[in-house]
Amino acid sequence: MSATHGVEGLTTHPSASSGIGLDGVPMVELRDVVKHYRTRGRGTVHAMDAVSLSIPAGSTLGLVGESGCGKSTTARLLVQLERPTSGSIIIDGIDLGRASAAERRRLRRTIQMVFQDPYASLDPRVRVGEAIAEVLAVHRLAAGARRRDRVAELLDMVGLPSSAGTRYPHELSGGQRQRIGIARALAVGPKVLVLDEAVSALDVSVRAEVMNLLARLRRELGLTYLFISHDLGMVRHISDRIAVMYLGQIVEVGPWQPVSDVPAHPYTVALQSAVPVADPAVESARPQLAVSGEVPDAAKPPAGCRFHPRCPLAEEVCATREPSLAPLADSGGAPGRHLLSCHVVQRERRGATDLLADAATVESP
Amino acid sequence: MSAARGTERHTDQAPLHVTDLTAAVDGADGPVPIVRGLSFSVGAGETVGIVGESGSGKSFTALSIAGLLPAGARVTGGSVYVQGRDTLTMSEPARRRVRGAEVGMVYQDPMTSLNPMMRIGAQVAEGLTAHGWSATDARARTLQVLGEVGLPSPESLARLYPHQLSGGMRQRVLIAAALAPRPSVLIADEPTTALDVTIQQQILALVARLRDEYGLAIVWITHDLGVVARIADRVLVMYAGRIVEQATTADLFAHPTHPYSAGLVASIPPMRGADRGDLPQIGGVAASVTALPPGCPFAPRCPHRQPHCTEAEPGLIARGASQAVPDRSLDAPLPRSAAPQAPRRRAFPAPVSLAVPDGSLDAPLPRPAAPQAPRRRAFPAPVSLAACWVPPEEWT
Repeated sequence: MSATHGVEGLTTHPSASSGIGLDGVPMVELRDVVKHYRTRGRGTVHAMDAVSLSIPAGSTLGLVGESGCGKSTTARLLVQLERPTSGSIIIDGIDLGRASAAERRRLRRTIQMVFQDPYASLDPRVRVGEAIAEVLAVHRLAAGARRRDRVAELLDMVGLPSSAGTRYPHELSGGQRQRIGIARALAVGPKVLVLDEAVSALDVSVRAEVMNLLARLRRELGLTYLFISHDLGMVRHISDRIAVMYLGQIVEVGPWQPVSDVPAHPYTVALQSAVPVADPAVESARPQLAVSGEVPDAAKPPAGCRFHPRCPLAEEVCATREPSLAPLADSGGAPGRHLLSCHVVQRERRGATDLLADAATVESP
Repeated sequence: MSAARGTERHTDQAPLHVTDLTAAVDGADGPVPIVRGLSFSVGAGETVGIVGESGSGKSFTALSIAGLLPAGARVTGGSVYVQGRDTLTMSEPARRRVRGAEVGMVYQDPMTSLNPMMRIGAQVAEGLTAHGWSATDARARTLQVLGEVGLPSPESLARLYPHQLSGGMRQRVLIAAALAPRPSVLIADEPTTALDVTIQQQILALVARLRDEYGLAIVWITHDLGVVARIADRVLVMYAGRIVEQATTADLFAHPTHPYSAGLVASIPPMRGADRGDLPQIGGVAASVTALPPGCPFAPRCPHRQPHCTEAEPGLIARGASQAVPDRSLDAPLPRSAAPQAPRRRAFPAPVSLAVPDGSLDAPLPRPAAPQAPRRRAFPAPVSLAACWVPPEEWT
């Protein structure tokens, strides 16, 4: 799979250059990363197949996709909860696969994760201030009075008064608990935060507060984010670039506005049109592209393009030949920065948003 | 509740008509009111969205209507008319009959609502035989309704167990089970929240189709304003156990008339344009029904608060003329408020309607215009109602 993927017709092979990223030093890089799980009964689950991504220092990559697309596996590999089957992961210039034990330990501090459910990640019997102090103790970062000061400083950083530290998790609101989750991640002084559905479980009014907090922290601390979400609106709001995954592969990646507003890959168009927008004017005006069927089993990914059984643009070639991630033919003066894998779009030299709008015009009387 | 009202048959044509519903849970210091005087109607073929955040009482509203409140919680007042009959005052067997046959309910988690040991077909048919259908009729109807919800080859599917289906298919089975007895009312409590967006889209489209085919009155409970924008004709916004705004979907988003709704709508990042500054925040913490502040429960967080707001809790007040036209230009500036030129009063305008907290139960209750046509967006559009003393044109 990975041997053939991403080679054909590609001038900037993802693994051979930084063509995927913005200009600037990548803080996080994935090169042809494969993660397969052997299971009893189901066979081999292709959680990630030849995934290449690059996140420049100080920028935010939004990662979207549905369950089973591999976005959470990507997060788990980055924070070293698991190791890739093949391919390399480079964080802050160090290749995880070749790093010494000491380097890997240091990288655990460089890259930290914020989880979806802050309630589940906090011990209900431990005061939240102690939960932050515990992180400092484990990493031997501050002791005694300095540790107390640092906890107060971290609480202040996430917009909580130092008195909040004496509370138990159940005494805090969902938004306050997520702030504690962020403070714990920041305790070790990371350069990268992996935010895995970090605002998805929050109430609407609280979500805005936490999004604003994340934007401020990124600005003030120069953090790099991998923002993983199924919520295209939040991803659109915070990302510099957006990558779209489907069944373990990147199908489109590029600058936030084109990917979000005029997606070029038919799956991204489907995803965009599936997400209900809190604006009836937008809802009634835009075409509804409903894809049929469900995401296939990742243990038996379809041959050819993995999206072809559900794709409104699918042709014969799509069922037999796997498309490779290549620059959008007409990406307006910025070649190599907006990549997608679709036979039809590349041949027509027009994005799927256009192609599908045409199809809709032809069909309607 | 007076016993006499149980025999009263409401002439309102709306399949679901709720008046002054209150519900409470047992607390350490006595009952805590969690639903505080809700009144609304849902017409045949109409979808009413109920939105609110955690603790707003939206799920308890659904459970109260369906008669499924958990132990320790109970309805303490008001009426729930289903097809004109008050289900709260009828005898238990009659109530069970009405609820099973006339009110279908769909929940968030399709796995926990299905019996893992029972074949799909048997589960759907069980709901029918329990309501007096013959086994033959129940079987025929089961296969029919499984087909209606878009499940392939119903005969073989009926023999499968829940774990053999995907999440989206299980949710279709639950919808089939709810609709099998041909109810007139469907209560949906976050039924798509756990699903992937492309599957959610399929389910939303399915429900819209079934609503039109069956002429269903749907109550759709969700925290997702996007889902409301897609599926609801009208929206009720709940805060601290009460409806704080009632409006057509178009009006709610274009010119909300309650500061809380306005704050919710504004806090969502737009899906167009290049501006990505800080999102407007409501600030503060949601009011808890266990410790309500004096006056308007939203006042402590409200940017438009005036001194008198903390003196008395406002009932629903008519605000703004409806322009329920879905084809509003995307780029036109949003009208702040198209208020009718009613004589303006500085303070305490008389609440026009529905949720008068201390209204006598025996007085005839004013009812909202009952929508009747079984088609989407074909209802006479009511004005927006907001439980707020300060009209939008006086917002700061």
